[in-house]
Amino acid sequence: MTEPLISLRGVARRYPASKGKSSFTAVQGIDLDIAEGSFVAVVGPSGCGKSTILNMIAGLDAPSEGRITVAGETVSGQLRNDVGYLFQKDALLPWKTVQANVELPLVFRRLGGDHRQIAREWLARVGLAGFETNFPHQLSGGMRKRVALAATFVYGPRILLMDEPFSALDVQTRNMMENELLELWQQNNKTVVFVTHDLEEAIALADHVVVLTANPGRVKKRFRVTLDRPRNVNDIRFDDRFRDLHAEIWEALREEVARSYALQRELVHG
Amino acid sequence: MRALIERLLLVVALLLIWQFLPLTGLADPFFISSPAQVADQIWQWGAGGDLLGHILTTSGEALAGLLIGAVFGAGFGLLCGLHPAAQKALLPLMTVSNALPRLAFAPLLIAWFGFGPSSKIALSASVVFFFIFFGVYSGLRSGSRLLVANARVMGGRGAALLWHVHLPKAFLWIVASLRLAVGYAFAAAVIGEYLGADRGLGYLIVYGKEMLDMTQVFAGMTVVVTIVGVLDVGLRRLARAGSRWRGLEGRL
Amino acid sequence: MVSRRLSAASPALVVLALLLAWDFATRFGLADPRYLSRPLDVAALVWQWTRTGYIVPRMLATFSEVGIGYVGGTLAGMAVAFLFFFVPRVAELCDPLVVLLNAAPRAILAPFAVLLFGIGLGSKVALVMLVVFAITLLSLSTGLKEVDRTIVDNARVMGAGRADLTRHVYLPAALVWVVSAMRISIGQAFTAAIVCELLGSTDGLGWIIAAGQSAVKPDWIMTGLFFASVIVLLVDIVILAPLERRGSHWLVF
Repeated sequence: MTEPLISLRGVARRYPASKGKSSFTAVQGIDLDIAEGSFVAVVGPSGCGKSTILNMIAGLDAPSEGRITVAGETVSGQLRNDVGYLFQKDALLPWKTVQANVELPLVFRRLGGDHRQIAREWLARVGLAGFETNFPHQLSGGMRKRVALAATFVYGPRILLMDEPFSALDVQTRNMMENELLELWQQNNKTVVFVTHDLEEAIALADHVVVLTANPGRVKKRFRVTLDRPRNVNDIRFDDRFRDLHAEIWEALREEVARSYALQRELVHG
Repeated sequence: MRALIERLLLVVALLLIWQFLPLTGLADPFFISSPAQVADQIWQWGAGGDLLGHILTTSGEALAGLLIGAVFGAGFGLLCGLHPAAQKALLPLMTVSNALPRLAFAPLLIAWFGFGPSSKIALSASVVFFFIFFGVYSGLRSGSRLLVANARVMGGRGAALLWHVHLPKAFLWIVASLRLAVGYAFAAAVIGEYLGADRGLGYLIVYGKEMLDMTQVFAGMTVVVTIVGVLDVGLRRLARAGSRWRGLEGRL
Repeated sequence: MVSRRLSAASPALVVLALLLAWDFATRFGLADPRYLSRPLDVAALVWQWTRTGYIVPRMLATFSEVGIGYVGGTLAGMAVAFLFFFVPRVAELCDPLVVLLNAAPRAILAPFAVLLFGIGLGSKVALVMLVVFAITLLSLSTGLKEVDRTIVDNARVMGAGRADLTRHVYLPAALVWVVSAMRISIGQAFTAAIVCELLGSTDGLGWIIAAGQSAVKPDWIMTGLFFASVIVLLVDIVILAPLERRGSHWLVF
């Protein structure tokens, strides 16, 4: 077996107590290997530290315990230059046009080439040719996500971290974006870590689904998704194997959702 | 605690620099006076009993202005906030008047109301009026209309609607505008006194200015800034406490 | 239809009613025109000063005080706000001074300015600078803290260093706040300049008002105030409102 591209060993992240808040353990004892070129979805109840894991892999946050390696190098709070990150919230600069937003990572990274041309090509690929001079607020939520996608792909990161990127979109737009993401992923051979709380989305997109426990988050179980590629997320939901997998994984996830709910009630009433 | 000590040290350091700057020849004590002289001046005013009288004069003007301005401001604010026709007729005027350099109207008010306290009360009231007006008006217009619609569907109207829905909704705005208004009421009284008075803290300061007595200007200014600063901090605490029991913590 | 037109015209009607009340009050002995002047007298003086151009140099005097102080205060406010933002220790240390600066309308420091910097341009510029500085500092400090965390994280993942962040993220975000601070401070800046002129000056709109006060010429006071008000409103309507609208096209809440 080849060396995994991303590897987490015994990773924990604790936030020390600060004014008015007691200390908080987001994740604990996380062991996770992600092979190059694979699409891994991480699911779990809300508040189980899914985003914390992504932040630590990106280097925006550092583990309090354990070790994270990416391509053999230890990552502990320093940013890597081969990682792209698609956030749940809009992260486009509102004062720059669509075109300028996509060019921005090229400027930041002091990359060569014709920035204008490269950005235009990527905008065309995500179906936004003709919108170059618009400002983000003039676009719909789905279109803004496409811009963000183009701005991430434009500098060719090897790893793509995605934190519930489509959760704010309506169902139709969301399915379209999911299909487009799969297409881009297959053309460009990226390694994707996709965080979501939507199990259907996870199964429809990923090769592996990792289920986390309620707070503090640990890896509960890992499932392999053996559905054929290329997939269409609209049709695949009606596949029998999809339903079996869904039932199987949901069995593992249900307990954790119930526990997380109980924990939250305790917090409110306790 | 450490932050507090550091801040205190900074203030002490600044005072020391002020005191001893003339020794270096960089500044003329005639222009910058010194903390010791200023303290001495305030002490003398206090011991002579004059200071209390001046403070009371200015505070009285500010308080009267605050009351008059608040009553009228709240009245017009309610009118404009709840009555669309009144809003259409008055709001553009209020917005324009609010943008005017109002403190510059002091000479006009002195010409009308004379040298006595009434001209300062008028100036103070005219400043307070707009704060409270916009506080009440924005408070009534802010937030969800659904709240009001829902209460009306449930049968709320008239005074009950005002008391249970409109005013609580506007509470934060009114408190915030009152807090600002107090400082400005005081400052307006002082500025009114600059431009024509024979009593009050503003008169003390401007008298010092005419005498080219920097110590007196500094001393008067210190008293004014201290009073306004204490009022501001005190009211902010009060507003925060008030918002806490209403579960609105952190929004002020 | 009629009612809509009436409501559109009603602010004008209110003003007209006030002017008429003023005129009648002076005509029928309710108020003394020696202290209150009359609308037509003021209008005549406004027209005369406009026609002869007498008002132009007075306006320019006030304008240059405000202009210089404005630019200086805005730049200084921006510089200190960025300093506070990037070096929080300094901000913490200076907190009491900032509280003091914000406790009261800065115009009360006018006698100070006149005594320290004389009755010329200097004292007005200094006071306007202080006023604008305080407002810019406060507004921008709040603004910088509210720059969206996600935007900053995103830019960092994309490879932005500290200089890139300042240039592409913090400065543009700050600009919106600076413009809105400028809008808030325009009235206060003119007030500061005029109050300072009232206390000691040789020219400017405040000087006209002060001259009217000492010579008991209420029409001078009113005409001076009229021009001061017109200037403030014009600057707000012609320059600042469109600027803010242009800037806020990305700030759709």
